Amino acid sequence: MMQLCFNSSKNGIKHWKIFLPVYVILFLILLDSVLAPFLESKMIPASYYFYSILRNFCHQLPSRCLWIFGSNMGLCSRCFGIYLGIFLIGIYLGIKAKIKINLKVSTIFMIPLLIDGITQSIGLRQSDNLLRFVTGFLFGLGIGSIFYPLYFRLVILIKKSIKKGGGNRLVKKQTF
Amino acid sequence: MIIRRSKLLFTLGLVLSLWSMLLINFSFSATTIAEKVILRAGTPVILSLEKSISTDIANVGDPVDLVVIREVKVDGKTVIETGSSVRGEVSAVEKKGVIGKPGKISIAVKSVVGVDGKNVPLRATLTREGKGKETTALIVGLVLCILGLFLIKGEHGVITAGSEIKAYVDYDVEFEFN
Repeated sequence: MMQLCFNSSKNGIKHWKIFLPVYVILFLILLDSVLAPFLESKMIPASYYFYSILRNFCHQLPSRCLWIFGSNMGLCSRCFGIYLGIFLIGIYLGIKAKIKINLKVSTIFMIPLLIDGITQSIGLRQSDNLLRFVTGFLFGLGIGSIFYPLYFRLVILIKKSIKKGGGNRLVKKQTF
Repeated sequence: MIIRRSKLLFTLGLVLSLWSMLLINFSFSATTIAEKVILRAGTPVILSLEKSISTDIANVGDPVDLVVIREVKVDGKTVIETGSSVRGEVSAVEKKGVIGKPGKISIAVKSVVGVDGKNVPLRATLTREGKGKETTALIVGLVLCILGLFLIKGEHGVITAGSEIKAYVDYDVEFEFN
């Protein structure tokens, strides 16, 4: 079982600071998803642009979206659940001193969505929006618990390589 | 004791009968209050296409069968029911063409019948384009045979049955409920 363990005190960097750009992007996506129907309910034409941005992330089929403010959200119930799950697990991992990947647990969280999606796509059954949201949320937790530690590792490696590269340049100058 | 009990029962019976008479009179003489609700312009109405349409058989002006898949409520009252039929038509058709040009079809939604039989005007359009084969046509036409440019055409534009359309109420419509 793959075990990658990162300790913020050892690296001297707090996890949440590294994850901040991801938080911002996810928060904006979730906020857009809520703002689009709100603006549409107020008959504000700008709602069209809020929906258009999210069309790049989701099919936005109205029958598969959660409805708020009398209109469908900018993301379908499954996508909204996924993004919310990734966002919340990121907040949780950001404040933990040690984060590690546990593939077994992450896979268990991802299985319900796979079952729900596959059985529906092959015509065995029809899911509903609440189930799509819940399975999407669990999937987001699972995929986020793999993504954040890997992202953290990648950022640390990049920072280390930049520092090393700067040190080598200094050595070259000295020889001259 | 027996007299007191019988008097009590008589009084109770009298009160109950008077009360029930009052209720009956009240229910017959009460005027029915009509409640008005306004379905505002811009309210979303979700529709689904009943039958597939394609550029190979459709023409501009052909009627299109749509149905409401999510009821519309105003102040808790249903104004457009699920399953209500919607009037639409094919608004534009571009047949597939040479050099891999794909077909394109557009439909426009016109109106739906509300719960009181009133026509509720809607606005929405849906456009679908088939897959283009421009690259294939150019490669075949320029490398192999010039006829390839004319023989290889794109795919038909198709709007499949079950496609969802988000239409909007075009202007305010008043509904009366008794």
